[in-house]
Amino acid sequence: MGSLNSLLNIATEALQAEQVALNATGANVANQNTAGYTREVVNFQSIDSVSLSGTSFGSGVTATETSLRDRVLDQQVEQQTQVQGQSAAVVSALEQVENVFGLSSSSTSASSTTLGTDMNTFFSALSALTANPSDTSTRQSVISAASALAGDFNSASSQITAISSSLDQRVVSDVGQVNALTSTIATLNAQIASTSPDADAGTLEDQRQLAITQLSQLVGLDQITTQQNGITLTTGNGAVLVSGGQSFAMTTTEINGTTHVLAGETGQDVTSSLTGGDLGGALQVRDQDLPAYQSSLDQLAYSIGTAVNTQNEAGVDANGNPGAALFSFTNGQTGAAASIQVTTTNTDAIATAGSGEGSAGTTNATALAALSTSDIVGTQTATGFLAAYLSKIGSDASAATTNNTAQQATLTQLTTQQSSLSGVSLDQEASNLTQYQRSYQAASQVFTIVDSLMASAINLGVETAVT
Amino acid sequence: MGIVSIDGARAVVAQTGIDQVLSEILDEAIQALTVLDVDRLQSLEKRVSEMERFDLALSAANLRALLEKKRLLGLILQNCESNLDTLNRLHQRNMRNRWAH
Repeated sequence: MGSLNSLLNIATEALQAEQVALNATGANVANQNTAGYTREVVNFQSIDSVSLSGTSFGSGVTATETSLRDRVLDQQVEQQTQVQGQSAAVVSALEQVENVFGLSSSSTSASSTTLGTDMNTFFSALSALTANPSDTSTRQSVISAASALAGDFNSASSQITAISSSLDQRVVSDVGQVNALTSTIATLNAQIASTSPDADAGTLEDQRQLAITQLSQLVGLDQITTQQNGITLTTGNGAVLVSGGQSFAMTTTEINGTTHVLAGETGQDVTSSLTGGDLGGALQVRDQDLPAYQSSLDQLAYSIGTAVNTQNEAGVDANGNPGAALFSFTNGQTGAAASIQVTTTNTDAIATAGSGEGSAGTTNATALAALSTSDIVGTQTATGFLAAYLSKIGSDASAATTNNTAQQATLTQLTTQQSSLSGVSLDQEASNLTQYQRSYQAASQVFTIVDSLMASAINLGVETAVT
Repeated sequence: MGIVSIDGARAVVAQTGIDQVLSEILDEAIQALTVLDVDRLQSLEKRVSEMERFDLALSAANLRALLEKKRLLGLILQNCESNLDTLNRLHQRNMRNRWAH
């Protein structure tokens, strides 16, 4: 062992080890701007020494390259990416709903919307009838305002339906992208299993990690590490997307006019259980938020229409005939906003007189005008219901925006932490973690103090403290 | 902000600018927490602590925006706390691995 030969061997191994280190450094420098690249480090290990006649002889050094990755942190980033992807999709869709009604982050006032303005105009026209029931132009104002109001309902309803259809298309597009990525991941799984089943696979793992992160932007995933350095991916409810070298494509199918998503080996319908990512956000808005908005709009249109119809039918028209319905619907309350129409263009059809008082009477005109202040939509007036409805849309959009901002900030924190944790020593890592902890503590303190300041400021009120 | 009256150790501060100051502090805290800027956060903590000495009155018009910003900071803090727990567990695991070697 102490021979010249062995010394040369030790020197050769040392040189080879240095070469590995140089290769790793070269790769790190060359790939510093490569998306998803993980820094490589070199682990030097002494080869067991040998003792001869009480003297210990080293037998050299070996070096191996390992990528500095941490799967726990990677998964944390992926999960946060899924949450952020979903919240971003929700914000984008809810902003479109705000646009339908002309709402903005600074204004959710009903009176500033076309629907609100036209509803007020309709009730004002009914009110004007009480003063001059036989005037043709006053009667024409009622018919025109009713048509404008029905048109607003039709337009809002069809725009909400259009948003839902565009979300259907988005689901199909997302599914296509998911399939391309799961296929890539399965191929990488197979390559990793054959080239590096027991150790870090370097660039191949980087590519797989990048593909999983991209997949996380699209859909919520559960990830299981398997034998031979493999990764199995499933949807949240367990439908398999990737298992080893095999991927299982998602498909879409139309059921009752709505796009459904099928996944897993048996093609199970996972539409109602998919969460996370752009797909989760699109499905959430399409299947939960939009139906609720559409249903409330239907309720409002149907309530106004039926209240006006009932009152008009209780009176006598300008020709002395019993009043008829002024609004029509094709399927009751279901789809009422889309189907509401004014039944006539004849101004005589408005029943201003009460039964038995002749066509010049105004009793029924007064009752029609009173509808504006009556609780005709459940326990609310029509304008009260519209105000609450628009306020709900505005606050939903605002809450979604706040949530998305928070999720984006959290993702930024995690990716910051990921880059620093995967590129430094454990000592530096501890220091980074301390920095994270101290930042959290200081921000918590700011939050607590602001909370207390605001609480006392609210209690003090605006006028008591300051002149 | 100007002091308009002194009552014992506490002062009542003119409202003008208070909303703006609180709003800026919240904005800065959100930005600094996002990039884990400890120095900036500690300086904000000091700044906001000094405001505790005063009785503040906020304008009702700006209250909603301030509450929204406070809520955002609270949400990020919540996420931060759960991530810190995970990262602490992760770090402890790495430390154990190091000792095992």
